[in-house]
Amino acid sequence: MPTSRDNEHWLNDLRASDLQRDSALEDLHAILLRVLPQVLSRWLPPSSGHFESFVEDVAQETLLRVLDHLDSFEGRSQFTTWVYKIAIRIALNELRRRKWKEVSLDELEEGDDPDKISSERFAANDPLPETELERKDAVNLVERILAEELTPRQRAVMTAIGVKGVSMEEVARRMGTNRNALYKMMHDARLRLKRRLKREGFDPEELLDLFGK
Amino acid sequence: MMKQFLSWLQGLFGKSPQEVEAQTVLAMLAMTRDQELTCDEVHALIDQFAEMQLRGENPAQLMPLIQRHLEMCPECREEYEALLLALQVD
Repeated sequence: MPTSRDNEHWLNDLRASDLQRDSALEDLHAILLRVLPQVLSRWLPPSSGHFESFVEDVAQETLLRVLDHLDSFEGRSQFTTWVYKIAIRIALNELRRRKWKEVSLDELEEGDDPDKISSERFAANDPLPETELERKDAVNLVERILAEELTPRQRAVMTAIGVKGVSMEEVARRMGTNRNALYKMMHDARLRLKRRLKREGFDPEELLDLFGK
Repeated sequence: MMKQFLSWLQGLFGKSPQEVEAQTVLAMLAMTRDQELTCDEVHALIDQFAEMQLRGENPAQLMPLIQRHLEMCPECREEYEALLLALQVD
């Protein structure tokens, strides 16, 4: 069982050379192998054949990244917490990449053809005709501002990420950008849509009420 | 697969795909603020945030911009929950 180090101790050892550093890396590796399986079992069944090798790959990648970014550790948390954060980002990135690898670009960008909307309704509570009409207006309004304020690409991205739940990392990868840039792009798009709604005299919260639960 | 999912939603809530999209967009807009942290900014502070949470220090109140981002961003939220789990296993 590795003896516990405080932050300074970890940093000193990992910045040292050879044996001292290797010993710290070994201990960190052991810690990751103890903690990661339980965390990752939430996303990947431990019984799956690749689980152990996946955990090992994540641990190795994490150690490399930890060494690379040692100078960016600000000591605002425990060193091991910071390491877990890095490991989790690596692991989940990879799992998301695998999950969406099979989905074709067409499927990601698939829009819904308005002409093909089914007219069947299975509403448990039949909305009053008045509400029905207003909800339709809200839908048309949103459709309209989406079409007018966003480029087709921005709209496809927003639908993929916001409505269909596609991983941001995957969308970013296919666009040749990164998740952070994509978040900023979506934020700008949302602000634009919100301001447009406001200019037309609408509040998103009020419109949301028309949709019920 | 997505079409099946949306049809299932339609059956469940009596809503067409158009309605589902409009409702989802409106929900996103309702949560949108002029100032939002990006994923990178949140990632930089999430270890601190997670430790505060486990110490019962109410980071949602002390670091509200991070809290807001976590409400908006499923991926950051997922990573945060994994971190909480890691700290509790530790």
